[in-house]
Amino acid sequence: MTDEDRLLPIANVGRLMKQILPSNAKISKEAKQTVQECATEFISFVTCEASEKCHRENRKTVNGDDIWWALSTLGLDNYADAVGRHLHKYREAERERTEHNKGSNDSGNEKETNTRSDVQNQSTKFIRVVEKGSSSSAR
Amino acid sequence: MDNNNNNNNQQPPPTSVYPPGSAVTTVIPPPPSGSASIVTGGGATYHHLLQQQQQQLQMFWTYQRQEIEQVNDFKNHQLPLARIKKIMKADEDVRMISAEAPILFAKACELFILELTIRSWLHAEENKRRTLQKNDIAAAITRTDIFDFLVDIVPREEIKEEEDAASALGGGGMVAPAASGVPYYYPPMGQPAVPGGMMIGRPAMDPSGVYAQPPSQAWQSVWQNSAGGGDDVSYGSGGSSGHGNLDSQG
Repeated sequence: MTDEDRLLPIANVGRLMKQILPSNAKISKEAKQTVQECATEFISFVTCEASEKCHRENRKTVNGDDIWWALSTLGLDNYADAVGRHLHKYREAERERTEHNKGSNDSGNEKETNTRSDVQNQSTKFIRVVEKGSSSSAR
Repeated sequence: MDNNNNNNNQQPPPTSVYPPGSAVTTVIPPPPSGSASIVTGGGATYHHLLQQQQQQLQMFWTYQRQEIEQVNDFKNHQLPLARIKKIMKADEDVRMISAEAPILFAKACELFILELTIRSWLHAEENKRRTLQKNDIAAAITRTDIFDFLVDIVPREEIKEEEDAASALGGGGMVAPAASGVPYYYPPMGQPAVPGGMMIGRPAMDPSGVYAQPPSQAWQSVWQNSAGGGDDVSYGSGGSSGHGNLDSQG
């Protein structure tokens, strides 16, 4: 992994920094790079704590609850609160999406069945027409 | 970090911990001895400056909590999920990562960058600068207890300079706050604050005034107000009360 690959993209970091500062503020390149490193370290720091919890509990997958727990344990209360809400909303959205997909799949299956029977009916009609034609010509 | 084993079975709160629009009550310690009487250009004391900074940080978190309540789009993020996943995978102990983990990190990381930037900007403004520099980031890290894990990123001399500046009670400039700066200290419910500390409740301004605007515009007005209307004025100048000029927002 190259040096750049192990850090968050500096353009995204700079955009976020700019977003929160007054319009007449300027940001030095060094400041952006420092925040870029800090943000990357933040991810590593929290991941390490979450991963340790998974290891202790003999689990292989780091999930949202682990990240929320790690933030709480590390004293990052504001972050834990925000992430807890975000996680709740994300799971709600996912559940709705799953239910919606389920519903559309069911109706899709019905449509498919209808289409198949339509095709069968049409092909049967077509065969009959062909048969009629061939029998009349035989006469 | 195994000192919190009793927390192992905690589950995330299903709904918000704080009601929307509320701000966490925070205790600001008294200034270092001898600095209470030090005044910035416009006559605001150290306390007022801290109070103003604290209010801005509270407004920031209140605003972010409200923003989260309105999020419906989990597809687009300010930070790339693939890169976040790569950074997580750099830890050898991490085996598998659920789909929700990078999404949460994208949000947490966004908040982290924003908070660190605000805290750094407060330091730049104390020094009457409009350009954010590396030493402002160093100052923000040094002053904030929860950012202790970042001390290795900022070179030692940067931190030393910041601490020297804090201890020097030099000329008319603003004295930087103590290492804890604007601390993260939440007193337990129903218990009194630390003696000698200053209690700060919700922001003096009505949140609805600012939060109706898009994020960047909302914060432009916060910065303008805190500067007391002047173009190049630092925090605390332009009035005897450190938080009076925040009231006009509502």
